[in-house]
Amino acid sequence: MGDGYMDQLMYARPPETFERIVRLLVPPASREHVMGDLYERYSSRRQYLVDVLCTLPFVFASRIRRTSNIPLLVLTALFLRFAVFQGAPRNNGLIALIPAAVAMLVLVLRDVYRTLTPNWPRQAAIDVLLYAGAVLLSEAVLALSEPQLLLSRQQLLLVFPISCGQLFYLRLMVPTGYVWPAPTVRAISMNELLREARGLERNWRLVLRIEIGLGLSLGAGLAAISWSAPGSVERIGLALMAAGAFLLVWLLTKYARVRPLPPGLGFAESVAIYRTSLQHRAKLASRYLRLYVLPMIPGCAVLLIDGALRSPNLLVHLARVATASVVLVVLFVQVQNSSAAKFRRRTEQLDLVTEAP
Amino acid sequence: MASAPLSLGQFEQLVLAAILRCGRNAYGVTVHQAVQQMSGAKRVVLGAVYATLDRLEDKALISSWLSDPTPERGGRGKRHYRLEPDGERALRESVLTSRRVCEAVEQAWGTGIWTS
Repeated sequence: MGDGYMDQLMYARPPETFERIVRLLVPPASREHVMGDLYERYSSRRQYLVDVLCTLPFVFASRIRRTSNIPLLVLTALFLRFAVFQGAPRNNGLIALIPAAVAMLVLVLRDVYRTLTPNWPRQAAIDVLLYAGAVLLSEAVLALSEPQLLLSRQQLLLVFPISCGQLFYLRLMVPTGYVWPAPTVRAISMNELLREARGLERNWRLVLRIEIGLGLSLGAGLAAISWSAPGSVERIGLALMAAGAFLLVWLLTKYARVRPLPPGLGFAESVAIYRTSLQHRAKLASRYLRLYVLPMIPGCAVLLIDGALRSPNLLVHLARVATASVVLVVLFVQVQNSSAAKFRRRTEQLDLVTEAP
Repeated sequence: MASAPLSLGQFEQLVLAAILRCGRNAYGVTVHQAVQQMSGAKRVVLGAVYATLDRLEDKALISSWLSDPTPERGGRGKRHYRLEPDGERALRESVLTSRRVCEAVEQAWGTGIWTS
C-alpha cells in the first residue's frame, strides 16, 4: 500500500449527511463519545454504516434500560388504557389500546432522548406536548384508514385534555430520563451543584403547589357534593374524603415544605445542605403510603362498601375494586420507592464529590 | 465498602480486563480493540462494549469522564473509563474463580487439554 492510500486513510472522514443522520439518532447523553468513536474508526462508507448499525441498537437499548422507570411506565400505561381511553361507546379494545400504545412508545423514546438540563417543569411540559401530538396524530391516521377505531368526541375533547394535566403532574412528580452516576469519587463545580440543587428545588416547589391546589379543590368539591348527596352513607363517605383531602394538604404544608439552599455558602456547606434536602425527599417518597393514601382511605372505604352493597353481585364487585385498589397502591408505592432510591443514590454520590475548579 | 464483590458475567470480565489493559488510554475504541483481541476469533461489536460499560458504571465498578474535544475525532471528546476499587475486587474474584475452574478441568482431563 502506498502513501496515497495512507493519506486517504488519514484524511478520511464520514460524509456530513451520514453524520447528521447519526447525530439525530444517537441519544444526546451518549452523542459526544459515540460519534467521536465512530469518527475515529472511520475507514470507508460501508464500514461506517455497518458500525453505526451494529452500535445504535445497543446504545439505544442501554439508554432505555438506564432511563426508564418501569413502575411509572406500568402506572402510566394502565392509567392511559383504563382511565383515559376506556369507555369507548363501541366494545372494541383496540380503540383504547392504539392511542395508549402510541403514547407509551413516545414517552419511552422521550426518556431516551431527553436532554440533561435540570429544568424539570419545562421537560414535563414537552413530555405532555409530545404525548398529545402523538395521540392526535395517531387519531388523524385512524380517521383516514380505520374510522371505526377512533376515540369518541367526548373522550377527545374532555377526557384527553384532562389526561394531559394528569400526565404533566405524574411526569413532574417523578422526573425520568436522567441517570445520576454511581457513587464514585467525582469532581463537580460549584455552578453545576447550584444548578442541580436549584433545579430540583424549583421542581419540588411546583409539585407541592400543584398538590396543595389539587387537595384544596378536591376537598372543597367533595364537601360541596357531600352536602347535596342523596344517601346518608354516601354523604358520610364524601365528607370523610373531603376531610382526608384537607388533612393531606395540612400534612404537605407541614412536612413537604422546600427549604431553599441559602446563597453565598461555601462548597462543603452547600453540599451538606443539598444532601439533607435529598435525604428529606427520599424519606417523604418512602412515606408515600402514610402521607398520601392513608388520609383518603376512610372515605374511599365507606363509598366502596356502599357501592358494593348496592351492587347485585356483591363479591365480584368487591373483588374487582379491591384488586384495582391494591394494584394502584402497589404501583404508586413502587414509583415513589424508585424516586427515593434515586435520591439516596445521589446522596451517596455527594459523599464522595470534590470541588472542581 | 465491606460488601461481597459483585459476580461478573464473562463479557463484563472481558471489558473490565480490557480497561485494565488500556490503562489511562481506556475509551470506547481502545477498550473495544482490547476486548476483540482477548475474545479471539469471536467478533465483538462496538455497541455491545458500550452497553456493558454503561452497566458496569451503574454498578459502580468503573467510572467515566469526558475528555476535551480533539480534531482527529471530528472535534468530539473521548469518554475515558477507569476501574473503581469495587471493580478491581470483582475482577480479581472473577479471575480467581476462572482459575479454580481451570484447575478442576486440568485435574479431570489433564494439562494436555489446552494444546489439543
